[in-house]
This record gives sequence, C-alpha cells and structure tokens, in this order.
Amino acid sequence: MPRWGMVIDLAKCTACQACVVACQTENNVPCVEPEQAARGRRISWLTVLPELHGDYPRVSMRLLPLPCLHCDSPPCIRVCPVGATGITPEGVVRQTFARCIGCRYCTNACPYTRRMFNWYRPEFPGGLSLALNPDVSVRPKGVVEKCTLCHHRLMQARERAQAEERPLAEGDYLPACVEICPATAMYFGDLEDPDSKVAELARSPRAFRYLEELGTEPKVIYLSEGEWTGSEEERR
Amino acid sequence: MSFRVNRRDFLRFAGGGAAGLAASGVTLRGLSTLNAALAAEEVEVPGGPEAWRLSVCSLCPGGCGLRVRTIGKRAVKIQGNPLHPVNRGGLCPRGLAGLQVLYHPDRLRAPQKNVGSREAPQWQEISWDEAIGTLADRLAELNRRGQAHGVVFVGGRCGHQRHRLFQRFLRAYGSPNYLRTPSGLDGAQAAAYLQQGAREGLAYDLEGTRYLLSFGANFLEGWGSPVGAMRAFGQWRDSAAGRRTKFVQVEPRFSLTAARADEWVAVRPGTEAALALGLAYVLITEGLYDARFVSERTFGFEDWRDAAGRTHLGFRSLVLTEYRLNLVAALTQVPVETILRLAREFGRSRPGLALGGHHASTLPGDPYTAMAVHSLNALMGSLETPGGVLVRAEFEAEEPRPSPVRRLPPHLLDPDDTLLPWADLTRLPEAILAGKPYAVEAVLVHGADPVFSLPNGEQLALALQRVPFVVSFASFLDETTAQADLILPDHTDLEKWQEAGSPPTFPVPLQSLSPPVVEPVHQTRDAADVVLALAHTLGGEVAAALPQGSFQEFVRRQVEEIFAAQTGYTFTTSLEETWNRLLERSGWWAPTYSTVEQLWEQIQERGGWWEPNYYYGEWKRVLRTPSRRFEFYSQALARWAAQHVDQARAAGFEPGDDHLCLPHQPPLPESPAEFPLLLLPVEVLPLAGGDGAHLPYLEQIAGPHVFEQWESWLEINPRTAGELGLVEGDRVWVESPRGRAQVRLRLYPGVHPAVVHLPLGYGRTQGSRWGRRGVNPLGLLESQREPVSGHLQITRTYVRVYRS
Amino acid sequence: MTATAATARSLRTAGLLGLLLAFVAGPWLLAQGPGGGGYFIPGDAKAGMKTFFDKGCVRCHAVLGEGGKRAPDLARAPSGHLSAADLVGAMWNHAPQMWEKMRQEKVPSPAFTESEMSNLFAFLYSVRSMGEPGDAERGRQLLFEKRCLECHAVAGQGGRAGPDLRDWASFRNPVSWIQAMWNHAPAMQALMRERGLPWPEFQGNEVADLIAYIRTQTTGTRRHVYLQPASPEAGRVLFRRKGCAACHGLRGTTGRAPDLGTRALPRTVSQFAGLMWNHSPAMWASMQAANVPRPQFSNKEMADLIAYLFAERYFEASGHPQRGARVFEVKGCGSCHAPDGRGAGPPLASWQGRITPMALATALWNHGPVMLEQMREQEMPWPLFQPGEMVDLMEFLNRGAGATRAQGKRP
Repeated sequence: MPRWGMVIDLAKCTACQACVVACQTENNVPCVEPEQAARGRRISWLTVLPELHGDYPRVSMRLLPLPCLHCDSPPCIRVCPVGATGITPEGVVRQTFARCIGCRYCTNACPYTRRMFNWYRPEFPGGLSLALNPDVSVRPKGVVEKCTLCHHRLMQARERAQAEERPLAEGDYLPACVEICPATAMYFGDLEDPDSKVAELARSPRAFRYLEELGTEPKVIYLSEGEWTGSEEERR
Repeated sequence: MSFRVNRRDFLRFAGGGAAGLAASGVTLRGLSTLNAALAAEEVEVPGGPEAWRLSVCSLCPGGCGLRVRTIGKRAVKIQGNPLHPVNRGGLCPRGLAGLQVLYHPDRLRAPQKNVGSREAPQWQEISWDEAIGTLADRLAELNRRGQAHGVVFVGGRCGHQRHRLFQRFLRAYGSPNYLRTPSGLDGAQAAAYLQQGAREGLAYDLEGTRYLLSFGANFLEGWGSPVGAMRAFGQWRDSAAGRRTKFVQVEPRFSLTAARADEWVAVRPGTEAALALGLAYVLITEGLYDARFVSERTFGFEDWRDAAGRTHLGFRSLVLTEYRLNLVAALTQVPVETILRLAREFGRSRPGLALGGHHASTLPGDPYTAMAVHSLNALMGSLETPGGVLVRAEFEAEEPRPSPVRRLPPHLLDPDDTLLPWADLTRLPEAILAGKPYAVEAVLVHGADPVFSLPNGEQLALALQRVPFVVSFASFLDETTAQADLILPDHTDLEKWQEAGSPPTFPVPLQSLSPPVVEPVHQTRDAADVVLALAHTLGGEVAAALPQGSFQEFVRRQVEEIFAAQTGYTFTTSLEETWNRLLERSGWWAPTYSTVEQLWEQIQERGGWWEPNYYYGEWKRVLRTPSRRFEFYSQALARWAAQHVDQARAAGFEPGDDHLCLPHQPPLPESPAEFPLLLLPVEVLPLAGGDGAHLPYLEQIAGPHVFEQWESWLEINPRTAGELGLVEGDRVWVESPRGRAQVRLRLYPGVHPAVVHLPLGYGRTQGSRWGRRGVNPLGLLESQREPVSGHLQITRTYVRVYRS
Repeated sequence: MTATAATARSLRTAGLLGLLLAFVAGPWLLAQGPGGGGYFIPGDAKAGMKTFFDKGCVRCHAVLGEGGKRAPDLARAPSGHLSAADLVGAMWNHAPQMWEKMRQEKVPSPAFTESEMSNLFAFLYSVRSMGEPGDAERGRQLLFEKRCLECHAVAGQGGRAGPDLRDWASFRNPVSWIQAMWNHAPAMQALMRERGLPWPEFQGNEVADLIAYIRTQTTGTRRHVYLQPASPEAGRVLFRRKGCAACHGLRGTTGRAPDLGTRALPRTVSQFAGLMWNHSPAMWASMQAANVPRPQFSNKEMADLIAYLFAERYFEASGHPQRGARVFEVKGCGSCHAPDGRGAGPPLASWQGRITPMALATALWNHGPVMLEQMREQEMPWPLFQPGEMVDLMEFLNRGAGATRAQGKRP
C-alpha cells in the first residue's frame, strides 16, 4: 500500500505562490472579503510562510510553502470529539465535513495552523461559481477544512489506471500544487517505494521535517536551501 | 544559512500581522454555528463532460501556454501546457487567476457609449452594429477631412499577430501612430541599441548561465517571461544537475527576488551603475576579463583617436580613473571586499550574465545604468555564447505593402529625432496638449490602461479630455476607459483565438496559437474581429489590406507563412526537441507535417510552433553599430550629441565630453530637507505590470513578506519608523511635493533606512468592486525626463511620512 | 518492435539517419543477414536517444555538446568512422575505466535490454555522422590560408571572380555545399588554372569550420535553408542512374574509382564534402579521359545519394573466422570461456549464429563488471581490441567455431 508524501525543495522554490492559487482553484476554496481577511479568516490550505531574520542590510528570509503536513502522528485527530477527522491507511489526514461540528479543537491542536474554519457561507459572486470544480464539494459555514492532498485526483487516477488495466504509475497522481510549480520545486509520490523520486529525495542529507521535535512525523519533507559552493574554476 | 525555529517563533510568524488565525481566537461559539452549517444552502456545482483545451495566457507579456479543463461549457481549471517551450507545464499565480478574469462579476458586458460628459460619464448599452457603425462613421469622417493621421492607436498587452493586425489597419487607414505601452525591458533594449545597434531587444540563455548578476531586475517577480525565469531558477538549483548557478541580486530593497538569491547586495538606491563599473575595475585590473573578445569584437575599450586626430576617452581609462574601489564603495555603500569578491567570482564563473536597466515590468530603468551593466557582459565575452546574452530573433512574415504605396505623414512623436528610434508613449500627453505637430483627433486603446500605469498618467487623463473621440476595447471599466466615449469590450483570453509571439528575453522565433476554450460569457467581441469588421465597413484600401473575414483567417495566413518558411517545429516533448535540435544543427529539418492543413491542426493540438535552435555568432545580425562591434563608446550617442548640442549641454555635457557616450554613473538627486525619504515604487509578482488588484486570487497573496493583502502598504525600515515615532500598522500620510495619500505602515527590515516603498498596482478609482483599494504610487511620484534618452524617470521623488 | 514497424516509425519521425537505419533494417538488406556478410543495425535512433537520456548516459556523456561533460562526447570520440563491431570494441576497451569512475562517483549502472542497446547504437551512429557545427573562427582563418578570398568575397570583402559566399550563409546543410561545389567544380577549376591558383584541399573538419564561419555572415534577413530527410533508397537508384556505379564500387565490387563503401571514408557529412572537394580535379580528369559525362545533382538528389552511401557503411565487410580464431586465442578468451564449460565464464558455443554487435554490447554492459572482478582475482589483464578485431571475433563465434577450434587447441 502506498504512503503518500511530498518533498518541497526550498532551494528551488521561488515563493511565487502559484501552488497557493492552484490549490484554491482546484479545491473550490472561496475568497473571503477583504474585511474578513483582515481578521485572519482567509482560508488557504496551503500558504507560503515567511520567516524573517536580521536587520538591514543583513536580512534573511525563509519562505516556506506550508500545506497540511499529513503527519503520521497527527495531534489534530486525537482531539476531535466526534471522529470527524482521521488518517487513511495511505497516510492522508482527512476531514469528514458532514460530521464536523465546528468546535475547532483540531485547529488549535494543529501545531502548523493548517486547519481552517469556515466562518462564513462560501460566496462566489457573479459568475465565479461557474469556475467551481465538480470533483470537490463546497464546504458549508461552520465546519473545519484542510488539505486533502487532492484526494479526488487520486480517485480519478486510480479509475484511469483501472480502465487501462495497469497499476498506478509514478506521476499519475499529483496534487494541484505540485503539478503547477513553475520551478518544479515540489515532488509527490509514494514514500514506501524506495525507487520513487520522493523516497530518493527524502533520503537526501538536505532533507528535514518541519518542527520535527514535536513528534508529529510529517510526510511533507523539506529540502534545505543549500549554498553555492564556488565557481567551477575555483573548485578545480 | 540555517534557521532554527521553535514553536513560539513559529506562531509569531504564522500569526504574523493578521489579527490572529483561528488558533488565537477560539471560543466554543463555533458550536452554535452547527445548525447554521447544516442549514447552509448547498452550492450547486453542475457537471458535464470533461475536456482539456489549450490556450495562451496574456496576463503578462510572458506568453505561457495554458491547458484548460472544461466541464460542459464551463472552464474550471487552468494549468500549464506541458509542451509549451516557455513554461513547460508550470504557471505563475497570475496565469491561474485567468478564471477570475473570465467569470469576473464586474466585466464590461456589452458595447456602451457615454451619453454624459467626460467628467460625469453616463454609460448606455448599445448594439454592436451601432458601436461599430459609430466608430466607422467617425473614422470615415476624419479621413474625408484629411485628418486620418490624427488617429492614435495604443496597443498594450496582446499577442504578436493582433499587434500586426491593428498596425496594418492603422497604416492602411492612413495613420503612422501606432504606440505600444512601455516595458521595463526598454532600459536593456536601449543598451542593446546604443551598444550593439540591435533593435530587437536582448535575450538571455538563462538555463545555460553559471552566474547571474542582476542589477535591480525583479527577476522572480515579473521580469521578462516570469515563468521562464522561474523555470531557469529551478534548474540552477536542481540537485540532479550537480552544479548550482550563483544568482546575485543587487538592489536597495530586500525583495522576494533578493530573498531567493544566493546573495543580496544592498546597494544605495540609484548607484547600480557605479557598482557595475566598480566590478569592471576589478575585472580589468586583475585581468579577469575576456581580452580576446574585447580586442576583436568591441570598440572604445582603449583610448582612441578619431579621423580628425582627436583623442577620445576609452572605457578602460574611464573605469580606472573614475571608478576606483574606494570611491565606488563610498558611493554605493557596498564594502570594497564585497566588490572584490563579486568581481572575482563573476570573472571566474563562465558563462556569466549581467542584467540591468529595469525597474518594474512597465517602468524601464536608466539607460546609462543599463549600458554599464551590459558592458560587464561584453567584458566577459558573454555576448553570443551559450549561457550568455543573445539578440532576439522573431519570426517576421513580410508585411504586405498597401497598393498603391501610400506615403504616411510623419509620426506624431517623431521617434527619428529622439535618441532611441522608437515611439515613447509617455510623450503622447505632451503631443496632444501641444497640438503639435498636428492635432490628435481620436485615440483607440486596446489591452492597456495608460492613465493608470504611465508615470505621467494624470497628464494623459488631462490630455485625453482634449481629444474629441476616445475609444476603449477594455474588458473592465479601468481608468482609461472611464475617459472614453465608446467602449467596445474585448473577449478575455479563454473566449477568443489566442496567440502570442516569442516572449521578451526569449531568443528564438515562436508562435503560440489556440482556438477559443469557452463560448463568450457576455456580449463581448474579439477586438481583432471588431477591427476587421471596421476595415470592411470603411472599405477601400483598408478593406483591401485586411481582406480576412475573421481573426481566425488572419492567423491562418500566418500559419501558411510559417509553412512556407520551411523551418521550425510544432511544440513537442523536450526529448523530441533535443532530437530535432541535433538534426537541425547539422542542417536537417524533419517536420512532423507535410501540408499546411497538418501544420494548422498540429499547432492547435500542441499549442504552437517554434524554432528550437539559436544560431550563435551571427555577428552581422547582432552587432549593427557603425563600428560593427560592441561599442563601449556608443557612436549612436555621439551622433545624437552632435545633432542636439543644446540638449546635451542641458544634460551637463559640453560638446566633446566623451562621458556622454560612455556608460557612467548618473548624478544622484539630493533629498530636500523637508522631504527626507526617497519613495521607490516596487512591483510584486501577483500585481506585476500594475494589474491584478481586481482579482481576489491575486489580492490575497500580494504581500506575504509583510503579511499584507487587499491593501497598499508603505514599507519602512523599523529604525526609520522608530525615529519618526511610528509603529507597525499605523495609518500614515505619505506626502510628496505632488500630493499626499493615506496608507498603512508596514515595518520591514529589508528596506534601506533612507527609503520607503509603495507597491504598484493599487489605487484604482474605477472598475471592479475589488480593485479600488490602496494608493497608486505613480500619483505621488514626480517624473522627470532623463535628458539624453528622454526616458521618464520615477526614482527621484522624495517624501515625508507622518501619522494621520 | 518489428523491423517493419521500426521502419514505419522512423520514416515518419526521424531525420536522415533515422531513415538510414530504417533502411538498414528494411527488407532490402535483411536478405543479407548475419553470415551473409554483414552485421546490420536494427533500431530506432530516436528511441535510442530516449534510452541515452533515461538510462543516465547523458549525465556523464554528451552528444554533440548536449549532456554531461565528465566523459567523452560520443558523437565526436573516437573521431573516425566506426562500424558497429568497432564501437563494441571501443566500448569494451574503455569499459574498466568507465566502471571504475562510475563506482567512485556512485553512478548507478542500469541494465540494458538488447533492443535498448540496438536503439542506442542506432542513435550513436546517427549523431556521429551528422557531425558537429564547425569552429567559425578557424573557418575565417581558412578563407585566407586556402586563398579563397582571391576569387570569392565574403560580405563584400575579397575577390570578385566567384560569387560572394555570404549568399550561401543561409544554407545550413553541408550537403547543399557539396551539391553546389560539385555542380560548379569544372568551371571553377578552369578559372583557377587560368589564374594559376592551386586547388585547395580540406582536411578533417575544415569544411565544417568554413561553413560555420560563412553562416555567421548572415544579416538575419534571409531564412535558414535546411534539407529534409533524405531517402537512401532514392540514392541507390541515383547511384546507378547518374552513372556513379559505372566507376565506383561499393563494398568490394571492383571499379575504376575508389570504393565508396569502405570504412576509410570519413565519419561526417561535412568531412565527406571535403573529400569530394579534394578529389574533384583528379576525378574530373579521369572522367574526361574516360569520356564520362559529368552528372548534375539537385540538392535533394545529392542528399539522397549521400544518405545511400552512408547507409552502406553501416555494414561491416564481414569478419574473417580464421582471423577471429586467432583473436580468440591471443586475447586469452578461451582461458575462461572454455568450450567444455570448466572455465570461469560460460562457454560461447551456444552463441553460435546469435552474435550481433548489439548482443555483445548488451552482454558486455550487463555482465562486464562481474567478469572484470573475476579477471582481477585471477590477475588476468583486460584484453584490448584493435579496430577490425572485434568483427573477426564475432564472425568466429557466430560460426560456432569457438567450440571446435578451442577444443582442438586446448584438450
């Protein structure tokens, strides 16, 4: 059985946020109005998180694309009083919207703040509802939502593979964020398969898991920035 | 650099400037919303058959190929076309937001005429027949009165073929006045013209380069073809590639580009040219430059003597005497050790590239800075090498000559009299207001909002009030359209035959082309079809020049020309491309089509056609200066100075002063006592080109580094803010000699202590419900013409900031 | 993929050499088969390029400058024409070094199937004969050295007797040059005699260098002119119809003029152009002497003709079993590949009739490292093959003689 995981190479990421918008369009996440956004109520399953250090002119900034990390040991699941969230056998931390009572214990428990509460009825003014993706339900007001690793795409990929009478191949199933990345900084695949690209990258000395010390065991793995090591002439 | 972040730090970052995410404001009140949730109306998402169709993005000049998912008649997702050579399946957030353009609630839905006044317009919907009829009558009338040349067409962001069509229309009608909106790359293009004699603009082999020195180019935030730049960036840092290209960003502000670079060099604003020449100093004194290239292919490096026997200053002497390191370090605020190290790295990492002369994607930088930067490329022999600087080669089918050949009156802006031989749209307001050399009778605007985006947009707004007839083809009621008498709303990208030529900074010929993805949402029409209809209504020469019944027929003609040229390939996988390139390099061409029909179909299936090979070293094509060499000493500038002695003197150059013809550091403005801070506008990728604030997708990601969205913000250094007694989030006035505006203050340590920044793209007063927030920095900036090139400069305005 | 399918696919997609190879795999030559005197190269050049990329060859090796720089550019090195068997020989000789380097740099060494190897060979053959663009700077010097400028101008600078060579800048294919030179050679020779100029000769890549220089003289106003993939089959017909066959032999058939099927002919099309140029006066003289009319060629005809000649060269003159036996003995193959199966390596008799360069290359690649290790343990040197030896050895093994001869020698 596959164990889905993602690798994000921070050296290649340009912080363009195409992944953020791709996620939003793919998953029918509404844009909240500016006033609500100012109160921190924007829903964004994937954000690019800046971490800024230093003073002018010695400033540095890490920009971290942060989806749900699909922890193997997710703190959010344990606190749900109604069993509205769980982890699938393939390692995806899922949310059952219909069962969610909106208590937001899970949003508090997630150390990465990757769970979002629907404070408002989703609005798609004018013709914007025409752009909705029929594969993904629109969540009602009052429930918590989060990244699904574009689970609907997995279902479709499985069906296609079945129809073609072949096993699911690497690259058949990619979440929208991974597919769009203009710098190909994001990789996705089966961490169980030692030959997969993600498994190979996860073994890299540059690989780290975010806030690992919390014991969450994330399946989104980052590759650290790395450095330029000199011109070829110098290295020779 | 390593980051250690604990959970507390993390929450500080994640919480950021927003009032707190759900985590910080949790109450059990949520439970009470349970019933509301269950009672919420379900949002209906209709189904239908799924299809994938290709298109082209025109939200910036980058020309990315799109692959659009449709369900029934709806477009539901935009992705990148994996076969497209520019983006190879990737896309930037702007491209993705195309769906919000298509289905935007505030689009212009039908033709309208202004039945009120210019000051207080009243819009009335009219039929297309009436709209085209009105315009045709007007143009016919002007032609009868012999004033056809008084018609100006402003062409902005649209594909290559549409530009051709509009231009052909205008010429056949009898006006030479086709104007294009300025591009940030015009600075580099000025250097290409002055130093290489090339008008096509520069291209760069980004993928092949080993060292990139960017002097203020917002490389990852809207420069050139943004996705192309990002793709190259990803390749430089691909762990499988085995080597990493170093990317150095020289810029006063710690932009997102600077943050993603390997090194950020915080340079004093406006001194990029001095730094470039300081680097040249090291390259020359340490013998790190390409002496062979300099001796064989350049002019004006050494001191030289002209035919009259007069000795002229050479680039070497200029640099060695005037750009010594201690002087450069003092001027630029970059330490001597840094200059030495950068120059040595650059000198030893070949091929290397230097980019410059760019401020934002619609605002070109200073041409002398561009020349100083481009001189580094010449010093390193990076011209016409893999990984170096190339000259664009566009596929140009020959324009049919109107018959009988018609002599057009001189161009309104007389580009032959200016240093750079292309018409500069920013001169239009002056020409209109002066009524010279002749009166402007009508202005047609397509794909542009110059009143909003030109540094002198306010002046243009005034000027347009003097123009008897203004027509807009806009999709939204923007600042320029608000000045119009007639609106002929254009289709958006996905509703029309979409095409694009080779994007800026892309070296080889390319033509993207795709049929419409969806049926028009509103009563809009493709402006190209409207102009064709107009041509047929006008009849005569105009109709003869444009016999095509539709834009589809027009592009079909282009495909026939491509077929006839017997080169190039339709888009294909990169593997096939390598094969084609190998064949082509040895002189073989194995097309995948043998008839025009096949080519036409394949182009639509794959997204376009291109020539994958660049031919290096065609020196006759790329060096067209009088010396047939790269000119450190620009003879085009010398010629201009000889003809414009007074203007040169006004710019501070006495006759015979060689500095005018050589790259140099322009003088810096002094800050007046009452306005202590320099205001520099900045461009962010989501609002690149000053456009996008009306799209929620882009608005909400506009300022991640300062946790800002939906609003303008004023970036200030925390220390400067402290000195002014201001704190994060304050509403402040920012006041320049031109006026003041209120805006929220954001403390950002990446700002030079003597500078404040405002993002471009905010502060519309018209149009969409979402675009009308914030401040347009162009309204505060004093624009002055650089005296030699005539470029409008926007980097010299000082302001003061105080709490409101 | 069957040979016919390969033919069809190559015909659709590949360039000159894709076609050449398809042709080689086609029925016309299949008839000859192994033992019938040749080793042919079935395979799809473009699929071979995919293999080259997928298997990671490209990480170290380049072809025509595209790819890694750590190992030799396989389109250029070795510089001469190689037959399939000689390519296996070169691979064999070089293998231990390559494996060692791969081991050091932890480069994986994926296994190849025989069809992948065939495609790879087809690809390498193709790019090797395409040749690389020349050195423009060297070309500029040649114009002076060879005294071209005394008659020709380049971009207005130079003599006026001949055409301005800039007019040719848009011709991207050396074949166009061969064609023009062929058609104009007699007139040019006459003029040169008149002026007392010696006939210049071009060595190595000099023609490519010259073309590269002339190409850079374009003003960008004229479009590049390419040739479309040529048809070796049409070339075969032309070879007879234009009367070439009257003098030139192919692969051993005797003729008055040089054999055009030999391995002595150069590797690339532009080198071939140089050769034709150099021999032009001599050829013209003997043609006049024999009263042979000089045929004229169109661009396409010349391309077809050259395609035919290059296709011919993929066939090695068949190996010689006796010489092969000697190779087997001298290189000490028998000490491991003993016919009775007692050696460390497998007996080779079972390979009878099945040995092709591709089979051998595949076996070498997949099992070579193990073999090398065993040989090291036994302190045996890795044998090296000279050009020509491999094809003899293959012929020897194909006839099953590996068993009989070796048995006779070493009871």
